[in-house]
Amino acid sequence: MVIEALKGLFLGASQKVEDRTRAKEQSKGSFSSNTKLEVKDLNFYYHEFKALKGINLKIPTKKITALIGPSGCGKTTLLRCFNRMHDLYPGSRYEGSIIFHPDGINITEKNIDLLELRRKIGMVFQRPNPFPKSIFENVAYGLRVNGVKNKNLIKERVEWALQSAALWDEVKDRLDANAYSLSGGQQQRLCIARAIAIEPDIVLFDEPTSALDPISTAKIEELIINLKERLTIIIVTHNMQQAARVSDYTGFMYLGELVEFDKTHKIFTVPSQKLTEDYITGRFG
Amino acid sequence: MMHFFCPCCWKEIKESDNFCPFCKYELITYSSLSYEEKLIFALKHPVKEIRRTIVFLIGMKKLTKGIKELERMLFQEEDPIISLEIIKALENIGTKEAIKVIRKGKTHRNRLISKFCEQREFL
Repeated sequence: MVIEALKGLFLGASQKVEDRTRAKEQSKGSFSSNTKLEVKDLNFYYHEFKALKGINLKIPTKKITALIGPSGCGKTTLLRCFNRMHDLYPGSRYEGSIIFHPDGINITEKNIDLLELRRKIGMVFQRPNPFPKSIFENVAYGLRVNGVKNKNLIKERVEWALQSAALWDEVKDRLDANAYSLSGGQQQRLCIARAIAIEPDIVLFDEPTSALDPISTAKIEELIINLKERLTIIIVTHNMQQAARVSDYTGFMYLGELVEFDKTHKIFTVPSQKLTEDYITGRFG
Repeated sequence: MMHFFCPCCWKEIKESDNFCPFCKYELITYSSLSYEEKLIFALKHPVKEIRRTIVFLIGMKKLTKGIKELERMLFQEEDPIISLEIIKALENIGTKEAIKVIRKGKTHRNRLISKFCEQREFL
């Protein structure tokens, strides 16, 4: 019964197909093959509070895009729009569109298949959140949920994901151990392995190193840089040096608006807005 | 909650202040400064993560105007991680003046810093 329900969700109704076709047509003209996500006039509300105001942005494919700004500026809110995480809470409302290329799906549409969306757009959170299962099962979980039953294939994918997350050498001899037995940095790399095991197109990172020590932080940063060969990455960070070190593009947000978006080197060496200058140089925060 | 700081004495002030109530710095003066000048001001920021980022950006920009301030910081900074970042920034700037400061760093009281300076290949 559950499988049937999932099938229904994945296949979608004819209405969804029509909506996708319409969104595809709408996105024609402005679509470039280098663009993975195209945010157009996006407003987002928590009940009456307008948390995002008129965001326009193109997230480039297989690049790392960083979102920076002071607390409460809306960077995490924007990140959570990309895989509709806000839908888990009542009272959230979207206006405008986020076109997911190359399919041309509008992520903000009400009847979108959220399971499929979150399969394609994974997320890694601020604090590592492994499941209370073994290391192996943490990574295999997403594959099983997505209908993979072949044990050898699961084993291969788990090993591949753990290797890609630079964790394999540290855990290959204790795959049956509880994930909670790992250190904080290892748990976060396990969460990254879990996210990439199902081969998403995009991974969203919400301050992935803020709870980690400098050595674990360096490992995660190196991992993120390596992952961009295969994936599009969007990272929210409070750490400007981290944004400058790892990202290709940076967006500076303030009071729910995107003040400036450009190549990272330009944002940090010759920002075009005074507000960006003042934030980078610590005048406010 | 947003916090605003005086860019001269780096005490917390109100967003609406025209003058710093502590050091009397006229804030309009700051808005007319260039980005490079603001970066050099920010080397005295009280938050060490910001100081570290600013040092990194001065290196990234190869900002020769910042060398003197980096030299002062190298011998006064209490956080060795920032001192190491200063040496990397000077290395990035790469001018004769910057390398001269790294040479001076070989006499640094902190063995970690002096050793790091000694290890620079070009010295």
